[in-house]
Amino acid sequence: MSVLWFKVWYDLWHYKVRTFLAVLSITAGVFAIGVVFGMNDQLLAGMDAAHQAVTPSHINMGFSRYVTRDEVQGILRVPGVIDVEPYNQLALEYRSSPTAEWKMGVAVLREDWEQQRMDVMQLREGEWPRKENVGIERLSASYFGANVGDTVWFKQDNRVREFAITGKIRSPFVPPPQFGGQAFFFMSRAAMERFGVPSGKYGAVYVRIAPYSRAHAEEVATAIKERLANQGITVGGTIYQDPNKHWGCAYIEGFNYILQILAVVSLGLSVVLVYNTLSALVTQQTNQIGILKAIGGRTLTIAQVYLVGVLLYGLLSLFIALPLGLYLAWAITRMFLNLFNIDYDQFQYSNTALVLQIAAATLVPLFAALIPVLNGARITVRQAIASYGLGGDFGSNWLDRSIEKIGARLLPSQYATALGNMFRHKGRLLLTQFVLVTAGTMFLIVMTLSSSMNFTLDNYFAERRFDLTVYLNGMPRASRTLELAQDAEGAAAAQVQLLFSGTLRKQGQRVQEAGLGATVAGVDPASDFMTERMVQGRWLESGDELAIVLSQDTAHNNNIRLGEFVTLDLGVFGKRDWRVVGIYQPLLRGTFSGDIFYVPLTALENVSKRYDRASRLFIKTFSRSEADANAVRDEIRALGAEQNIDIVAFQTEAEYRRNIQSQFGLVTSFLLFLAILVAIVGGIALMGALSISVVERTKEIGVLRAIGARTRTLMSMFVIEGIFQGALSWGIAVPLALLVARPLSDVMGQIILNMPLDFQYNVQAMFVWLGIVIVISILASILPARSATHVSVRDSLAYT
Amino acid sequence: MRFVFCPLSNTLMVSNNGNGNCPIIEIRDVVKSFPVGNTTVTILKGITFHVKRGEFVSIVGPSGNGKSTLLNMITGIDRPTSGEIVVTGKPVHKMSEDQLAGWRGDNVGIIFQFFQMLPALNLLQNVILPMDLANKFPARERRARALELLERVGLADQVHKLPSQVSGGQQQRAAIARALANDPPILIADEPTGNLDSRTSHDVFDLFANVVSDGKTLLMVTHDKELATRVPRVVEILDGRITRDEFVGKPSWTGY
Repeated sequence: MSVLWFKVWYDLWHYKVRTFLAVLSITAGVFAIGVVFGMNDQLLAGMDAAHQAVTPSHINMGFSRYVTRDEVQGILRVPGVIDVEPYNQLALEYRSSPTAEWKMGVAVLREDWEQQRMDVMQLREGEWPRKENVGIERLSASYFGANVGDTVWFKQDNRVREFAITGKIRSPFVPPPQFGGQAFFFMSRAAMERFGVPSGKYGAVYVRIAPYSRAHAEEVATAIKERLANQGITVGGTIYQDPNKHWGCAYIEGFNYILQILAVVSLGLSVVLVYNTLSALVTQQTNQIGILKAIGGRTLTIAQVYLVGVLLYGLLSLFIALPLGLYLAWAITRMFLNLFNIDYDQFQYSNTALVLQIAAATLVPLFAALIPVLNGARITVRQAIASYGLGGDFGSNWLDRSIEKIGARLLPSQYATALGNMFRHKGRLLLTQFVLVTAGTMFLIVMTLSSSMNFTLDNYFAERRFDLTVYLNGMPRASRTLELAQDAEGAAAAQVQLLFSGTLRKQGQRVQEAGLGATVAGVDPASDFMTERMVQGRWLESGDELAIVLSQDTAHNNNIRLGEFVTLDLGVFGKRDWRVVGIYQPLLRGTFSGDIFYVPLTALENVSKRYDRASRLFIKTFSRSEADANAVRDEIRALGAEQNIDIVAFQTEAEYRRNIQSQFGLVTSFLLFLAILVAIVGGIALMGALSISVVERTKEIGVLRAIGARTRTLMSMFVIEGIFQGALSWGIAVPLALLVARPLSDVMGQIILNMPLDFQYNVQAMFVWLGIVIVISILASILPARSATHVSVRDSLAYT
Repeated sequence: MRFVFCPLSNTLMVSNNGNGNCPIIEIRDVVKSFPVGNTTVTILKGITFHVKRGEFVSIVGPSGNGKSTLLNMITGIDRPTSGEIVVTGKPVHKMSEDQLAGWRGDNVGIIFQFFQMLPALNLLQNVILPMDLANKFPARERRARALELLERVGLADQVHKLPSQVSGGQQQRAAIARALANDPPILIADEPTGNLDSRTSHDVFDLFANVVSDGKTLLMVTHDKELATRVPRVVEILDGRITRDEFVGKPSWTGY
């Protein structure tokens, strides 16, 4: 091995701490890039591939009455329709043991379980449902703790039936139970008929069309509705589905966007660290570079030696970060895909992430090292080995002089020295501050996003002055329903809502299909139970007649303005024009919950000619606690059963909030993970900067030693310089985070909640970060401080 | 007999065996000033002198009078404020840093007061290093040559030790071996015995004498008056000027 390459190896091996820190800092960036980009690539591709694999339907329609198979087949005559497959879906209460609490679940029947043609469900264990047996959705199975071989009890209209679970089935379209999704069961026709589903009839269809486009799907859906209307069949709900894109992609894409920014920031910080590390190395070896030049070393040769060292740092980092990053990217992808009910058990990796990681570990550090290495290699022999005193140009400008004055007036001499030293090399101070400020800002942003999310939820739930929602089936009488609440001991007050599915038209044009995304709710304008977050206009008022409040998306997408009239077609329940008086911002929108348009209850009753009816019952408890809400729920369930009121589902506000928070928790956990990574990188940067400081001031330390500085004094000088650095970065990060967190909080809110978050700067986190940055500063300065104390007077003064 | 051109004196000199009397180091009117605060301090005030091939020159004078600065001018480590310096026929004051590095590798061996051995390399590697940099000898011969040089300076049994594991005198011997690695015609030594005890200083001096007897040109800055008197030519610098330049003897070992 050439002596020069031996030197490269020696520098790596002999200065293990520096090698470790350099490798660690590059590893952090490369790892973050690998995880985030690998995850992004695999996740979106995995979701779309899994989605496409089940032959997704283009249109999913629910009817207001059961239809025959012939009527379903008639849909095939609508131009553009290429396939139709009927199914049934039923809301039922279930429990997994005779003594367990009843919970809401969904039962599904397919025309022929073994011959599904679209939205294909897959048998994963046991057998397809037959006769008195049921299958269970596998996510439900694991989340609710039910398995093949277990027994499940279903209840409808106070009749309880027992079934054996004989199959575990994957349904690609079930919402994650963690996000509030219900348990799904799969039944045979015989089983479903026992719950009142007429023999040979269906309540819904999947439709595929050709060619597929969203616009064509909407046209075909309208034609199907018109055809069915002629047969006296009303379509209650329509869902459109992109056959190529998984329904969860929008959520993941937005979330990934933020993660990618953070990963690139991490890599950027790594670059700064490599720069700092190489500056430290070159500074430490300035003398050696001088000797190399004195004995014939050329600039290029010397630069090569150091750049090869950097390449080795990078390769070592790659050795650690590549497998770790690829594995974690796969593991997180698997976790997310499993959450969306997609299998991803075989290890896979993203080629893009692989290439990015290799580039991040090799090219990026080389690029970062170029400036310090070339500067070092270009140094003249005289600059390198000559020494004319303690050097430095501190004091040549107003800033230095101000610092000196502050130190002289306010601090003991050794602390004043620490303060002055910090400002001695402003370029390095700037870089170190850049890393620490970025780490601090990221931490504060993450914590602020978290607190803003909670604040938003607090505000949202503060506007919902009830504790329990009871979902009713068959529109029972409102007066009877309210009596139920009056009879419940813990209930302080109750209100009802009447819901209809409708089609909204603007000046004769259809603007939105009715269905899950467009439910019309009749509410009492005088009720203080609930108001939505208004972005334009006003909420409904007493005395309003044909007034409607629309969601912002509906208004925006269809260019509907305040004061305009829209036509609400309730099918067999009538059609009327309504004036838009307000536009609100819903908290959650998307696949699992739809937009609701609000109208006055009396007006809706008058239009539909359905008086004294209720679809939902809202109950406020005396204590407003979750325990009381649960107690009232049990009372209402029992009372409902006694009085033959068909209750479909219950939801306490506490449960609802938890479901929303669980969606947000995933994002904040990742953000926090990256913020911690950046904080570690910040500590390494500070350690690097202080190490250079020790090397540069070897002579000065010798002088201090010679004039009586004790080990403790030298230690404290460097530790205090570190603390000053940390404190300065904190002072910059706090206002910076305040500036940056607000727009990010808006973006985050749009991604998760589809609205800007109510911003709340996390003051507590501000002080937590101060504590963290001081601890990081102390820890990062201990090693350099120890090195300083090991410098002997003789060595330091002989170092020329 | 043939003639060679001496650039600074702009003359043709008689050459015997290619070396002749043409100076290997030619310095003319060299001034060196340093800014200190708002003023300028002139260290060298118009130095002119020549050194012929094979000469052993001692530069003496009090501290701070410009001796080391003058050596740095000759090696190209520092540049004159004005004046000209031609060494081995090359105008070093006009050469770039990179040209100087290459030129030094081939032509000048430098011996520092504080030895300046690379701490990461053992003595053998330190001696091989200039050969690796200059690529002057075939790679397979470098190790043998380095061993030979170290043996010559009396370090045959220390070759695998790190600089920190040997004494100052041994480090300086290794530094001499390193300076000779590429067989340069000129050796420059700045206070080579300044950090050594008296006995070791004499050993080092003897090594220098041997080197010069092999035909090398050696310039040495020293404070050691006794050693200086053993050198055939002494140049004294006082207050930035040459105050004395005389041949003090013709020691038996030089063949002078």
